[in-house]
Amino acid sequence: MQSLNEREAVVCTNLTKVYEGGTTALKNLTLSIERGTSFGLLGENGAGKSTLVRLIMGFILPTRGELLVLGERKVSRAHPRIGYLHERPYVELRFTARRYLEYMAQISGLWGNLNRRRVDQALALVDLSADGDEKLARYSKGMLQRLCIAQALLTDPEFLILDEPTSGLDPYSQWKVRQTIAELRRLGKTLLICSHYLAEVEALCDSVGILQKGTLVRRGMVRELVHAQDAVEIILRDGQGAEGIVQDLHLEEHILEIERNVLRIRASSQQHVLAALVQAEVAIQALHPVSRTLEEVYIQATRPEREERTPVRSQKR
Amino acid sequence: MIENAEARAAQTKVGLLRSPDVTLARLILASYLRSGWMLVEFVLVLACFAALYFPFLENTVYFNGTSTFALGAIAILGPVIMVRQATSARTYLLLARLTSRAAYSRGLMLAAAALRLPLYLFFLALVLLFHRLTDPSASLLFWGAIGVLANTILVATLTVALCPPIATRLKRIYFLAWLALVLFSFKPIFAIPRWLESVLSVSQLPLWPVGECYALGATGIFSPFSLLALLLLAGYGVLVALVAGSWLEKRELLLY
Repeated sequence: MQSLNEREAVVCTNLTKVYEGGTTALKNLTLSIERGTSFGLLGENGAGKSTLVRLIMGFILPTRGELLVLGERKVSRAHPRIGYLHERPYVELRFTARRYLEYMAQISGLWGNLNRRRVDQALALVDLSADGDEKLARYSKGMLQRLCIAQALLTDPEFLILDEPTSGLDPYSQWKVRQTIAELRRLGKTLLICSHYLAEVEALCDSVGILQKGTLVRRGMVRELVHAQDAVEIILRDGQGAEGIVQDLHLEEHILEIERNVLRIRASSQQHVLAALVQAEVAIQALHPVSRTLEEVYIQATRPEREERTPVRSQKR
Repeated sequence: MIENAEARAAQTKVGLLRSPDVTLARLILASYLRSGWMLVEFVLVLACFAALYFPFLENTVYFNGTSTFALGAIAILGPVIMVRQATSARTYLLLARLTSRAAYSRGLMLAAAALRLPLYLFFLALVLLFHRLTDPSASLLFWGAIGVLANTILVATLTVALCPPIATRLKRIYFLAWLALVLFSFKPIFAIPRWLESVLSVSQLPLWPVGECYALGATGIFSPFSLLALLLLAGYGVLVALVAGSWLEKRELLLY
């Protein structure tokens, strides 16, 4: 049986980070990321995402709590097994892509043929082989971002930390970067993706954590979060006015939304509403849970007081 | 898997020249060269040469003495620019590859130290090519070079160690306070009791090897004391590298 350290890439226990000025960036964060999975970290600017990444990378030190990265308490010891992409593509612009990657690989201890092979592989994976001998100053932002992903992949790391991998890129570059990340996911790498693009995280991640003001407000598998049965949709046979039926059966308090012959109700009211409809001999064509987008999950988690907590988007009663 | 095993095997084979410290030093120097700042250091040497040797002709002792001060000043200015230039958010990508941040500080120190040699040789070449020395003697120049380089390399490494993000502001203040104390003890600017003068003179002790190497540079005469001083300076270099590494390990790195 695998121990916890072998199963988890990252384990944070009551992790707290207070910066010198007194700003609390993370509060008692307890979180784990399983190896071989893709984890999306969501949150607004200042929510604590970058702080968590810096802690995981060992660039800053926790104020309190415990952090294990790939089983290492001194996280820099895990660095050879981690690929890191910074939120902005800061590289040595005075070098060619190949020369820069060669240096980065050498720092990681890759020399000679192995160095050349790894550089070629990394360039090919991000589709930059043809531009490898171009000066980086001539690269577009999208190309630089892909180069940064290439440098993160040089050592074939088991854990990749991708901080805002598609931030500020044009649609084509975003698509290219997502293709690369999807490929890495297929290869079974552990991924930690920080992003503001919820659709991207929904498409690329197995699980997500939503941070707000340094606190983890929601955590779960993407599939489960978006299919959480907060609501159920009942489709009545054509020709039956749903609004009239609801009024006749006095079901108003259970209804979230009515749209012609469609009723959306709270999942907790499902039994009661169905019983009433069956008793009144109302013909039901279909019944299914309502899926939400990750965006709706995010808004619910971070704006519980200010936003309507329903998964529906129109004709609210 | 096979490739990873190959990588591990390659890593075990790597010698000193392939260590992360030396690779980082090469990367830092290459970046410094391409940024143009390295050229500025050479231009400063050129300016020193022009100021000190035109229209004068001087002897070798004068050359050895002045080059310690001229190259020593450049050994402060250059590494400050080098560290500033090399330390930005880009550094995160380098640190993310290292198991210890100390390698990064050692890389910076090696780069700063290594550049002292071509700068000295450039200065020497200028003086010799333009025939500015009245008594060019190989022996005087050789021992002079050893003394000058030992001191300028120490100055460069110390400057790197005191630069942010390695040293905190408080540590820089402590160091400068000690330096001020040493200078004061050499030549007090106001009258102090004799016993206090004796006490303060203790602060000069760590500078003995520096003075001895300066003497070696200036006179070109090698003595057993010179050897001891050189060994002590080498020890200082190692100590500075160790201390700087441990400082950097403990720093919160918020780089932009």
